[in-house]
Amino acid sequence: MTKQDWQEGLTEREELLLSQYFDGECGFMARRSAEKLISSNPLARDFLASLESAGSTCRAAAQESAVSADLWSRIDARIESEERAAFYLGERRRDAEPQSFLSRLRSRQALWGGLSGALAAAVVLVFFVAPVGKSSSGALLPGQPFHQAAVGGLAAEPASLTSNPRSAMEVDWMRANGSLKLFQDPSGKSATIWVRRRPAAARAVKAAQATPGISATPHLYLDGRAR
Amino acid sequence: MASSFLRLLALPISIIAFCAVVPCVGLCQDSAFVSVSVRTIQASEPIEGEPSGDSPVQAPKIPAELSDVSAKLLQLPFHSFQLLSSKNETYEIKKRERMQLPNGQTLTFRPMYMDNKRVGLWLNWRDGDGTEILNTRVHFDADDSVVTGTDCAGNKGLILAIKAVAVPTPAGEAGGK
Repeated sequence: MTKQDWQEGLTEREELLLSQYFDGECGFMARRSAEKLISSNPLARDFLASLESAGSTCRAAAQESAVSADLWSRIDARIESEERAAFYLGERRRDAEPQSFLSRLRSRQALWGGLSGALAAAVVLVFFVAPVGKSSSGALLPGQPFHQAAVGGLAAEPASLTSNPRSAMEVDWMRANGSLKLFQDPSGKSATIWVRRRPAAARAVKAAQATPGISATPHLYLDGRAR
Repeated sequence: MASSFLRLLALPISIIAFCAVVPCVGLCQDSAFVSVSVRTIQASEPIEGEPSGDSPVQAPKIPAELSDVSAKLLQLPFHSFQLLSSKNETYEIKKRERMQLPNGQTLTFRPMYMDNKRVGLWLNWRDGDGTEILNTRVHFDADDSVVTGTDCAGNKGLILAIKAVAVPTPAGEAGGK
């Protein structure tokens, strides 16, 4: 570089070199040449400074433009989400007062109603539904041993009258006009059913001494007439 | 709509088919008719108290026609038994029947079922004046007899021995008495 070049400004070649140096696109020899030019030529230093200021200005402008674009997109996205929420959940409102216990309880009315219904159904199933196999007054209970004769004429529960489980007489019900007595068959067959009626003489004596409420049974004769 | 109509018809059709098939199959070999015999027995000479050492113990007198129920009669507190009458007729299952007894009493009964092993019988024993003596529903072995009795005047007893025997129904014949 001559004194004349220095006095007339930087050449196009030197500006290109400095631009490459500023961008970091120089090789080893070009970087050495640019550094030598910068150190020896103040115009080169000014040119380099102008490049730096222009770069910072551009970066600042780019950053500003980048922030604005992101903000608008975010605003748009938020508006869209709010609109969707308002559609499904209702308008957003601001509760000034904290919710009381009763109001919270009422708000959970559906939950409590469902739980109570399920609990009631479980209680009914456990306590009131009769289990399978339970005997009733009309059901047969084969093999159930008979322990006592029915007194008073009415045996509501079905009973198996036998000492031998192989052959048994099962009774669904038994009603008689008098007390019942059962005589077990020693061979294991069905028992003999005896309806016990009071004899007339004994009934007459006892009737005089009887307390109120005792009713005498009709007296049966072989001719079929009751006396 | 057609499918729902078919579903409505499915249940009655299945019931009808079941009722038609089961009797033919005869799974339980139930008899449609049953022969019921009712013997009226008079018991006398009641046994009172424990037998003393002076008088010998007398064995109960049971006639031959009551030999099949002798074991049951021996349990009763009587020395003597006499067959008053015997009736044997064929009845249809599940039909209520009424039998007049010689002493004016009536025995209403209904055979509920009868198979090779068990028989179910409903009995209603009434006096001549209609007073109910015994009303019961029992189930017993097909080769067994139900014996029931009651007190009578003169320290006697009246006993009914009821037995039910299955009547085989030949194929192709209509049922009936």
